[in-house]
Amino acid sequence: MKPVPARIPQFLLGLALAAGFAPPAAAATHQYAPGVPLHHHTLPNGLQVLLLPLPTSPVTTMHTWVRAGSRDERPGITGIAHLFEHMMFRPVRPGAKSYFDKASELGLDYNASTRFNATDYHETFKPSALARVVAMDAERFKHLRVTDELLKIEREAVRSEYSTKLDASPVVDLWFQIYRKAFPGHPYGWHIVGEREDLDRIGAADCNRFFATNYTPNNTMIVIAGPIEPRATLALINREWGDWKRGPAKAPWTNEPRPGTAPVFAKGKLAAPTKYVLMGWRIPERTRADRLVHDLTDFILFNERTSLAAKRLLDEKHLASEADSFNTDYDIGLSKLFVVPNANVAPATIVDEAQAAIDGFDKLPDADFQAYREYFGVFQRERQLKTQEVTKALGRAWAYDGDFRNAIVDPRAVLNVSRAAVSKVVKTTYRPTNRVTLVTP
Amino acid sequence: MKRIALSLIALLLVPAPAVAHPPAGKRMADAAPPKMNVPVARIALPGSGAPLYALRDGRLPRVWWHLYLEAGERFVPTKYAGMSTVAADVLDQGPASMKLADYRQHLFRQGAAIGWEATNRFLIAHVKCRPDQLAAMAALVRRTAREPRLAGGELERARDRVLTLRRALDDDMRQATFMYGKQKLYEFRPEARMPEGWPSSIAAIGRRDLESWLSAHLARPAAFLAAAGPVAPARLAQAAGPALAGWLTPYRGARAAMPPAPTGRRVVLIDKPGATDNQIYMLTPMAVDLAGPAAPAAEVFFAGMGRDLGSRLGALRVKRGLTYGANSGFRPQEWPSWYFYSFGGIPQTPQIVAGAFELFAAARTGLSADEVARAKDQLIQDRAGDLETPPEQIEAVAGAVALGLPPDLPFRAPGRLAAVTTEAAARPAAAAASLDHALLVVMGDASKIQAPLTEALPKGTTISVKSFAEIEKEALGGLASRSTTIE
Repeated sequence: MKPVPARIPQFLLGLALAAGFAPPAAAATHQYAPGVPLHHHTLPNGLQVLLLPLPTSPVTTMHTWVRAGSRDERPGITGIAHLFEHMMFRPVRPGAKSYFDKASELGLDYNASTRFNATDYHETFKPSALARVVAMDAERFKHLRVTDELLKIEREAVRSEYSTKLDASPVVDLWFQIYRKAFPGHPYGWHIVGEREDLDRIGAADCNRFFATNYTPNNTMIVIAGPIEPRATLALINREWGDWKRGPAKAPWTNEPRPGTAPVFAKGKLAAPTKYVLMGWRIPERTRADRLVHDLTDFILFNERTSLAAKRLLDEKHLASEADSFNTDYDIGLSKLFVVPNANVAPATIVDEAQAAIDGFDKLPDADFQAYREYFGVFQRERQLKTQEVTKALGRAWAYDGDFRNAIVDPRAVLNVSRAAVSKVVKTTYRPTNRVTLVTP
Repeated sequence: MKRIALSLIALLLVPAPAVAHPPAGKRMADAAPPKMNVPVARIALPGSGAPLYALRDGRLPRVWWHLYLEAGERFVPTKYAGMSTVAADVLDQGPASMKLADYRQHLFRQGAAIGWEATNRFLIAHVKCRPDQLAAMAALVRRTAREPRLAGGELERARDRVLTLRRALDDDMRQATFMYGKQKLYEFRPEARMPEGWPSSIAAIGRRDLESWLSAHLARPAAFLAAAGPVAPARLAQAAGPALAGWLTPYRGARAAMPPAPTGRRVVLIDKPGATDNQIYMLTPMAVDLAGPAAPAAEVFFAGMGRDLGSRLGALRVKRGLTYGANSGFRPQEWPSWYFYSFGGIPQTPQIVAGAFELFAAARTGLSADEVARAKDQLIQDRAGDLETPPEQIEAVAGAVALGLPPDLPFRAPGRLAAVTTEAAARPAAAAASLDHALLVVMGDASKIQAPLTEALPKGTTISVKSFAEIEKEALGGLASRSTTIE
């Protein structure tokens, strides 16, 4: 890593780097919003870079998305994607400062999340810290070596994550179990956290192999948004990340999960005085063409108080105290509805009525369909105002859908989604035979 | 009522913070944090004189407004604890003179949403609507408050919904620990009571009880309005004022005097038989003027101690592998306090508690200049990221006014945080190290955790072991516990 002094004013950095070291990179500029350009670059090593200059934003945010998650695991070392993500915050070599220490020195706000088919590392920081953040991230992505000594400590932290989530929360247990029931034999089925006994089996060599295979520049996207100068920022990224060696092209996943052929109804493991019902419908992998339709459909059916499910379960039938979509931004594979039934209401009744609400879509008056589209448009535009949301959404669209442009919000596009398109999704995806239901025992 | 589990559930490096950070400022820089340019207008609503706090912002085609009515949980008799939440649920169903389905459909077709919430001090109507619907929605809110839907089994339905969600909170060990700790800290005084109530007190609420409470507290409530959207403040006042005239009285914003902090360390072990995980929540009262310089200094100190894994408490995970998370922070409530929160398995829990005590004791002279600088950077970023959109900004303004603070205080946070010196940030340290007024709540299987926890605590510490039924009884006025003093 080439050290960069912490407090070089960014405009000076821009002049120096842009004058002498303009990086060769394939480039295209998109319109994120009226008057807001989004710069897309591909470095020669395949690293994808998105830069969104937001001059009035109060924060700078950087997300680094890797297209590797629990879907890249195999039986025996399940959970390695998640455990490895934790190791990315440890020293890159024995004796070096850890990411924790360096991030604290810079006053960063940071976190990471492992998902089924991607892992997201992110930081929010003051504008002057950009150069150091870019450099310290590059260092760990290029040079990390996991050791068994450090793995031993981090394994205990993950064990604590198991116990505080999976062993203690009935709702988290349902989340875990619904994937197990929906996708037996598929990586979605062992969930991101993995099989508990595998945690002890995974060694440093496994982690380093996983790293070498999946963490490559041509499998990674950096997204930075905030009051940045795009040319200087690109030069900086090129300098710090440009020598990261390209890896073998990652083959597309061929293990697309299959839709269901019969309804599944099962109980979770953690008993609770309150009964919860979590329903999921298996959804196909999304593409640029159908992402908006699927999102709007989920919104109409399940999202918050105005959804068809909430109207029926709460207002018309008085069967439940709560009905809402579940973890939509994080998960894939299932579109889910979470319900807290009222006392003495059988879960089967909830399931039947939720399905009836879905089936009622075709009877929805046109004026209501139009109202849903408007609600969804405002909902999207509100999120678009948040720098951190924008940055995350762009990387997620790239990692999940293979196209970051899915995160570019166009209010007109929402208004152009047709009833027929939504109806088709409802009929093909939200049918009873494709449904999985988990209830608390 | 808190909603269940609908925040993001994720496998993260760092667990989500235990307590939401307070609202604060927007823009940041290295040398001198820039002043935020978010002017908050204050106008007396025509016809009532109730204050309107308004932000003009044209980025989104909706107005977000919040009507705060001083009719919250603190005004409820103890035996009916939770009544304010039942009231909010009833009001959420719209006015009695409209069919529920018609009410919902009316809002939906207008592109509007109205939701009611109870807090310790207020009943709040949260409204989102098109600018041209402002007067109509204000009238609808008033009509709902005047005509609550209580007849024909509606009260019973609302009570059942609230009861269901309240019981669900007890399923979540973290939530249940927080709910108890926050109220026990001030021995369940009305001003410290949470609006969620308790299962038995909610079940006891009858139609007449609620009717008489609503008529007493919503007839002429003290109130203020906070609104943001693509409309000039004067126009907002003209639109909303007439619909609310003759109903509201001006909210004055007086805070309740903070009671003396209970002396002596209090330790409560809430028994959850069969639990394999333990929740650890420690709270200490802290008399701080939220508008003065001591508040940002306290924020900085407790963030420096436990804001992230690189801070001192992070060692419990990073160096010792005892837990997935351990953090501390300052709670800028009407009666402020600071907290420590962690969780762990049975062998780890005593070590976490003892380790936290040691780390706070070691920090009794304060943090280093570097630690203070980092904590300031992090907090300024937090505040900035929390206040980017009009709905976020107006919620922060309303939150400040509700605490009797200047409405623009959130936007001054970057400057206030930047001004904290290492010396100022050290002032809370000595009190934090002594733990003389601390309340420690641990939830777990008492048969397994009581003995090892006892070992970890200083001699002379009394542990009260309580079942869920006993903490409910305690909250509602009848104390019952099994206490042991460590010799």
